[in-house]
Amino acid sequence: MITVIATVAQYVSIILLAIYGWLCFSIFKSTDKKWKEKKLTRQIVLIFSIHFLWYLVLFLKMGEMKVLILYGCEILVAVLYMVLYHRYYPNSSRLITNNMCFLLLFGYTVLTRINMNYAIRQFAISTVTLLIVSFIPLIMLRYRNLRNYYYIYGVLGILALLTVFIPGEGFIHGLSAYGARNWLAVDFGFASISVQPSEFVKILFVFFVASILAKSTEFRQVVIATAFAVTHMGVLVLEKDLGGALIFFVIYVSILYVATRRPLYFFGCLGGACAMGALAFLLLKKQLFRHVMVRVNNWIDPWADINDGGYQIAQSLFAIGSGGWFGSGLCEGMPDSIPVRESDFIFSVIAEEMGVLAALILILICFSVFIGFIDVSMKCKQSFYKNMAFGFAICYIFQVLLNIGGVTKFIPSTGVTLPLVSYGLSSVASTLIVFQITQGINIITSKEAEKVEREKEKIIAGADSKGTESKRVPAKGKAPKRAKQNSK
Amino acid sequence: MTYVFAGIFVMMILYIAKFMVFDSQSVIANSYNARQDKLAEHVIRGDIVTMDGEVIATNQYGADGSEYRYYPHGSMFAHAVGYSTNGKAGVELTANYYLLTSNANIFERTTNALQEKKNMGDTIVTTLDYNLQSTAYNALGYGKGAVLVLEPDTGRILAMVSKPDFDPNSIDSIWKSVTEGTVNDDTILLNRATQGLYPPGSTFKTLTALEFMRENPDWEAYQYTCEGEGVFNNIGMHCYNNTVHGTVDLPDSLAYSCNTSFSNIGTDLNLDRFHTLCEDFGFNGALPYGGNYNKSSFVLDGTADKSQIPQTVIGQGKTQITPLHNALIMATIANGGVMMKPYLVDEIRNYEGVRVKHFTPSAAGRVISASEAQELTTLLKGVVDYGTGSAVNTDAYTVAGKTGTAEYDEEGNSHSWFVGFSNVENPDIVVCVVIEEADYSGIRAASVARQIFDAYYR
Repeated sequence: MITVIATVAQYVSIILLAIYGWLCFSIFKSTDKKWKEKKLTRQIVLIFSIHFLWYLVLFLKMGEMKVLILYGCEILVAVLYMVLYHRYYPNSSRLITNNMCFLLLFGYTVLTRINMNYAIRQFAISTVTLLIVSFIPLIMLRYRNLRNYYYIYGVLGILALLTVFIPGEGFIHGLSAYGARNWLAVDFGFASISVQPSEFVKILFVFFVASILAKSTEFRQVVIATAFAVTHMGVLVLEKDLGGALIFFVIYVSILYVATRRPLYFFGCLGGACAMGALAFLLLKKQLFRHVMVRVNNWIDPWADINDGGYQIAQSLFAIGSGGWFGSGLCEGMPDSIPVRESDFIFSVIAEEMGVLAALILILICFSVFIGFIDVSMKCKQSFYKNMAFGFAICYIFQVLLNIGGVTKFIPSTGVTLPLVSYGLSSVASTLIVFQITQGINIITSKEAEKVEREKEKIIAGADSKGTESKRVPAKGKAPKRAKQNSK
Repeated sequence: MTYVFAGIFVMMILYIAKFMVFDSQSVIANSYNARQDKLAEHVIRGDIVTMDGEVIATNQYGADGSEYRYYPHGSMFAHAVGYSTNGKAGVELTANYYLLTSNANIFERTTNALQEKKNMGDTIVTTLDYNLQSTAYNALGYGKGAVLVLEPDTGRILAMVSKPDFDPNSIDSIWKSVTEGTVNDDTILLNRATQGLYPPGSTFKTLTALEFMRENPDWEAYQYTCEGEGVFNNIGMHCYNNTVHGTVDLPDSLAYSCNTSFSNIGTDLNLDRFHTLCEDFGFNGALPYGGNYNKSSFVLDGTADKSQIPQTVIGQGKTQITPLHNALIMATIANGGVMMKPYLVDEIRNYEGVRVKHFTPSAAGRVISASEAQELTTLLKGVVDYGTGSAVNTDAYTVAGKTGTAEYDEEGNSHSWFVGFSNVENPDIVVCVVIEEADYSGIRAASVARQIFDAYYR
């Protein structure tokens, strides 16, 4: 009986996922507000239905009360968040909120399957972080001069990146993992947490590039910005965090292009990067690039070295292939055979148990987040916000690409997490901050747009009251009232 | 920028879809995929049969209804079929995924799923020929060694025998005695046909002759006077039994397997080019074979000590080769210079006999030119017609091949080799035989090969 229920739930959830994925994009078809609201509400219904089906199967198969309790907590937090957030920030993007909640719930579900403790910790971390970062839009509304402090962002970012070189075993010291020294351990004596400074510096870096190029895009300014960007990347290369350096590079080039709209800079940067890469290759060949060559070789032919370097990617492909289009069903696969299954390789677990179709829809949802961010950026009138939203959009989607591309052997693996889905404090916290800042930008932009709208109405209303013939009679009563409110 | 990412993501999705449609089947069939064992929870392991329908692995049920693996022909197919408990080997290993996949009709599978009954796994039809396998198995007798028979134009492996052997029906106790070290010969589980590394002996002279022909377009003018022994690069060499072959040209040198003549040839060879030739044939690298095997090695190159040359060019020295690889080299010559990928699984059928998947021959690549292959064939035919290969000389069919005596110790004890193909005009099969310690067993490789050729044309 359990098998039958699980099988039905498995297929129904894929169908519902497909509808959700479709809504993510069809929402842009119309600008009619009411129609959009209806679709967005439908998405929420779908989220909770899919989430219910997943947890139903998990509960039936695992038979633990803890699963039900966790499910209840997840629902509670998600509903509270969606309702309250929309009430306090009526101008926030609901599509981004929906996708954010869905990705988090997606992650919780898979983590529950892999190991309950991961799911509980992830849930706790995300909930606390959400509680704090929800104030970000408020702060952004209050402090509109954030664009002036670019040097602070730049210097602070570089210093933060350098913290991983703090030696020893003290209160704060650097740590190495998987061949890169890019972790910072904070030791409280009774407990210690590890964070990846580059995850947070990424945000500072977007602030820095967005603000310095918002001020001016003259050649001199571009040179200063480039110098700072190169320093950031240089530090990351010294940490041997080449994936991180690549993300910073892509963020920089993207914002530079959007801010200046000059292909010359874009290609100049690409050329410069190639030259720097070649130079670094010659200088640091032995220490650094052996590690890269190993990654590339494992990508080209993981089967040749299946017991060692090719192991991770081979296991990942086994998982994806064995699951098939519709998946083995939750709890029916073998995620234990996939290394780093809870973070870097979580996509493979999803593909194996929920099916490649579900995994492909997950990719579409991630892309919808990107489109949502780009949409925010395009609506911006102020170049600082425009640059920033664009930078975050690129930062997000590039990470998704590195992660999913890496585990499917589309590109060499770089050890990047899947934002919001993968387990990990730094990753989840920094991604939530990114989402909130983007929401903040959306709120500010929408308010400004409303202001402009009101101003327009005011002018029209003013014209009306002077007695000019107009067809906009219904607006007559309302418009002046609003204008009055505004003038208070 | 947005469009760039959209493009990349579309490509990534298409890539994943392509992986699922075209590549995933062969990827998940990899024996390293631990998920295969999980399949056994829902599927009864399928049968393995020869291409002529003889069942060589199936299931039987104990009195308590427990299912166990049964190998009707015992040790005859031991190394080829392998075993499925205590680890896996042979076809049981390489085709594990297919054996544990059921393509029974969908209604049956649905009914079984609802009743929580296991489905019947698919049947593996191997390329093995019962007739040739049993002939090879019997011909080897109590000798140690291996036989490999394959079709040069397809790569289908028709027989694979390794001795000493074991009965896979009692793999549990054999495994125990091997791991505890209470067995006489702890190499019984080793498949000598693909994993046994031997000095190639005189069979290697075929490649030396080819390199000589490449470097000397006027090789037909080559002449050497054999006195039964000689000194080359300060190393004393002598022919087998110190036989004096008199004046020989290249075909004679190969036919009589004249060691001094080949040592003489070797002193002038370009060793780097020779090294490349050997690597083209698969030495020091991977063979295009999906099962377990060991890599052959050929270490001589331009930087080597010149004193190694005389031994190496006659197949002694540090060179090592597996019977599978030696057969592949001969198959490449027989197939006009193109090496075909050797394989053991011909077809997958569901348990009711409906074909599910068919494996087609595929080429690993051209190794030598068609004219080089033709010239070598003529030389190798001479070996059988008037040289050391007389044991396979018959009117019933034509054979081209090379014998070998590979010394493995200082006292001159040797392994006996034969590798060759028939018919010369239109090759049907390649036979490769190696007999260890042939001086003790008295079994010669060429006579074993003769029995296999006879069985094939009977």
